[in-house]
Amino acid sequence: MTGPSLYVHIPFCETKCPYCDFNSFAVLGRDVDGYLDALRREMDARGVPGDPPTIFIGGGTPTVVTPEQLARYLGDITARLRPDPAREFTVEANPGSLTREKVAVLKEHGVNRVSLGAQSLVDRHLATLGRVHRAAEVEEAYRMVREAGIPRVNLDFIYGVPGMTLAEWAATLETAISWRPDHLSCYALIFEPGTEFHARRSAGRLNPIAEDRELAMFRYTERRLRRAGILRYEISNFARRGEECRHNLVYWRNGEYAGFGAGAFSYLQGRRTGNERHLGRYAEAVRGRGDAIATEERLEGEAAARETIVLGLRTSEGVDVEAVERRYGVDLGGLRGTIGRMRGLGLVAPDGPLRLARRGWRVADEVAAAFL
Amino acid sequence: MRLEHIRNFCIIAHVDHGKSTLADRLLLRTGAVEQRVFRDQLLDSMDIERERGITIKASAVRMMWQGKQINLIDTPGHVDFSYEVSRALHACEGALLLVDASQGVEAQTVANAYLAIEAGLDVIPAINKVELPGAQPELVIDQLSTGLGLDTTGILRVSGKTGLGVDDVLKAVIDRVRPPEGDPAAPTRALIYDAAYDDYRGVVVYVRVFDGTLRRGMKVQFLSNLSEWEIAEVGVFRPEMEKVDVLSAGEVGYFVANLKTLEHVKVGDTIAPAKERDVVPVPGFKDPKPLVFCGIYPASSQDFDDLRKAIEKLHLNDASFTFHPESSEALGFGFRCGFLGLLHMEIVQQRLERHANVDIIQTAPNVTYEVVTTDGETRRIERPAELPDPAHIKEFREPIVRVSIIAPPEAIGPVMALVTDRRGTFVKQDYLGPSRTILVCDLPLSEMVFDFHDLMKSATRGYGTMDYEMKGFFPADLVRLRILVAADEVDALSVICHREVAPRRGREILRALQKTIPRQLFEIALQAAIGGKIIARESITALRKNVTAKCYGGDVTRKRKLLEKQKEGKKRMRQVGGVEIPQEAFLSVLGSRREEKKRK
Ligand SMILES: Nc1nc2c(ncn2[C@@H]2O[C@H](COP(=O)(O)OP(=O)(O)OP(=O)(O)O)[C@@H](O)[C@H]2O)c(=O)[nH]1
Ligand code: SF4
Ligand SMILES: [Mg+2]
Repeated sequence: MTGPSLYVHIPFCETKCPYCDFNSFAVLGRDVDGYLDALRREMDARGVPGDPPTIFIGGGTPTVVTPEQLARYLGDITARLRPDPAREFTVEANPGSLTREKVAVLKEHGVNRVSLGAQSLVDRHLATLGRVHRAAEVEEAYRMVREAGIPRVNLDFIYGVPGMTLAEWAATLETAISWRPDHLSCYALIFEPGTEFHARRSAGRLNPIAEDRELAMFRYTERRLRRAGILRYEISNFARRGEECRHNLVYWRNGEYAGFGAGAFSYLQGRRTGNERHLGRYAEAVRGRGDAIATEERLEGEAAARETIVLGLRTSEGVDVEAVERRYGVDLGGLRGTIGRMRGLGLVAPDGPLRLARRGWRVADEVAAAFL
Repeated sequence: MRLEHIRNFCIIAHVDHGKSTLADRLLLRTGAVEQRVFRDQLLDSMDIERERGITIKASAVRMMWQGKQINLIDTPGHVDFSYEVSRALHACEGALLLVDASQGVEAQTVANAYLAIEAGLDVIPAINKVELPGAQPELVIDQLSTGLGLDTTGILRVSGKTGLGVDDVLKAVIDRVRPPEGDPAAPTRALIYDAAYDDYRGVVVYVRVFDGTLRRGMKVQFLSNLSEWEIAEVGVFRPEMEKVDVLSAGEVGYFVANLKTLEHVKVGDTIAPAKERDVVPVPGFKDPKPLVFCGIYPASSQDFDDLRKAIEKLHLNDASFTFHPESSEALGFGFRCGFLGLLHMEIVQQRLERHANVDIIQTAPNVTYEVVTTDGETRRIERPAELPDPAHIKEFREPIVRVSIIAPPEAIGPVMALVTDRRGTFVKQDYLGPSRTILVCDLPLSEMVFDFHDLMKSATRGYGTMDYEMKGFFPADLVRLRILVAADEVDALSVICHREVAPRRGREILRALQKTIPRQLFEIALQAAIGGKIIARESITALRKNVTAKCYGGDVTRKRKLLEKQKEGKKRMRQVGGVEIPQEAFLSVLGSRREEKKRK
């Protein structure tokens, strides 16, 4: 594997979505420039990998800032890298926040992949999700990116939204397919602790959809997209062959990455660190000591090997257990029983690398936990 | 201290009649405990006793009053701990029998009074809680004299709450309890009535000295195994352990002798000077007769040794439960333990978990059965797995207990209905004064032990109390109800029950399992069978969905921790034929019957 990938976190959004537990904050009244100063300082102090195989700017909504601020941080990043047009360079964007001008800035800085947070193409569901954009704006944004000549576009969707029917979800998928995207991420809604949705559900004010209906959506998604030539390569990620997000694959393969910004994670030389999430504390830490590491973990030997298996199990390529043994210098013979049991249940493929079988996807966590 | 200046007595009564509270008063009055360090029911020092508000262990304490040394033992009232009472009686010459003035004589009042009389103790009856507005002392006096045949002249009237009559109690103990007999100059003879394990000092042996003395440096032997030990410390309970120079004939106290292993100390054994061969042992205690049994297994099999040590230590402090190793296909190696009742079982389990730091899996309790095989051999069956093939059973017998229920006369009808419903039979009925009737009947132990007490309480609107004794084994139409999970019999779930109730029991058990076994990656069939015949079936549908859609890029740690937590939950489960069965499932066989715990 080549050097570490690069992740940069822009923690601002237009408003905070009620289901979201990402490190993001409503942008209004925030000192964006101050944050970008801190980000630059962190990059200087820690050093950015000069030739990362992939770059991913995530958030938050990286495009919620002004075109000038956008140009500024993209410039700060690219100035530190060896130019390489072939490198995958993704920026996340929300439909409402995208303008022609901003798309041009992206293009100028070599961004060749945009991930659009569409979430739904039904206004009612967008409203339930607390999203500020409307369905029509998604299409507009999508066309804008395409017309600017950015070659790869992903659409993010959430299904299993309270009140959503299978038919509505199917219709959303149809529309999305008709735009001929090369990549779709379809996530089931999760009620994450600490979010407004979680609190509303606990208080009985928000009813999750029935498990069976959600399961039907989960299965339908894979079946429908496969027919459209968009294949599942990870539990929630689908792409035309060759259009898989390489940055994501770095995560699933337990590869290395250097993350910058508030709440960003890095995984370098077996050490996984997490930055301070709070914007003020992040900036302060960077000013004081250059980095803002708040959490740290080092997994070695068998624990690291098992984690690699658990991550790899999320992908359709699966993991080569022997390669994992070689990589960490451990003997995973102890897993043979578990593998045999999972094969017996038809949940992992009968031969070849360890990977989920068709029936295994919907219980992927159960299968994964058995390997920890 | 000279014998004539010593008095040893215990306080006995039905549950909640105020023994521990009166003991508090006595401790304060005699200055054994200072007001400064006092708290209610001071002698209930175990955490579980305080949480439940009941006494579980008898505890001794020495007081001084008017030049006399008075040793008091507070006893538990709950029937499950009656072994504590019977041992305490051996360390005393007198018993203060308390009766709650508003409740009157109840089942354990009768049972404990008879125990004390049989043990030859001077019994001093006392009416407690006399300050209560509902107190009916005259009625109580009538019940004590006509019902129990006790001499009630000069009966004490006290209140542990207000302190009324406390001096009278002390005076009565001095005047009416005889001083201990014994010869301080004779070779030492002391009875072990209890013991406890201390991590630093080893076994602490609780003794009543009958003859001679015990002092530091002395070499003694345990008569049952002739092992010899040098005494490192002797002391008394005040109520904390307090070192003294000597314990002599008639006194109650403890000694420590660097006993780091547990196998030598046996409650009921006699201590004598080392090398002495002619000492006559003090009559020991009858072995406890456990009524309910269950399997106790370590949640993870590598903890077996820790569990064994923990059980041995606990047994030292609670001689009333029994244990021996057993193994189960489903659960591996563990112990079959016997208890005096369900509350006792629960307390032992709790003490083990708290103090031993091993997670345990407990199987549903059952009683012991007897089988006469076709070769004429009579076998004890402690668990369903031990049953021979039905073709080799000539006769199947179940234990029957004789139950005495004390209740107001108008409640006898409903109680009799309950008894019949539970396969019981009427024996006799007696009157204990105008407002109390004693109903005696025989009941299968298996019907009595689980929820009978609760049902009897509601049939008598809370006024009924009961006591029981083992009568013997009698033939009955019993079957082994096999429980199959995913087509495999799980021995730890199977039960023995009466043929008539088997279908209902089977359904109850399967439903309980359905609630406790989490959905898994495949559908699980649950079946109840007698022999090869399935009499009930249920199933647990397969887990439909368990997948985290979003896994935020770099935060792999969090994702892994979530999965780890999921996996952690499975640690307390046992794999049986590929199915993960949580520990609650093994107990759930009791189903709703487990309400017994809310007994108090
Ligand atoms: N009114 C009144 N209540 C009392 C008196 N003595 C005890 N009690 C109350 O009765 C309840 C039981 O008291 P305990 O002293 O724990 O009874 P016990 O006999 O030791 O109970 P066990 O050891 O569990 O058998 C408590 O709530 C006491 O506060 C009394 O003289 N008058
Ligand atoms: S836009 Fe995205 S990152 Fe921002 S709050 Fe909503 S879901 Fe979270
Ligand atoms: Mg008490």
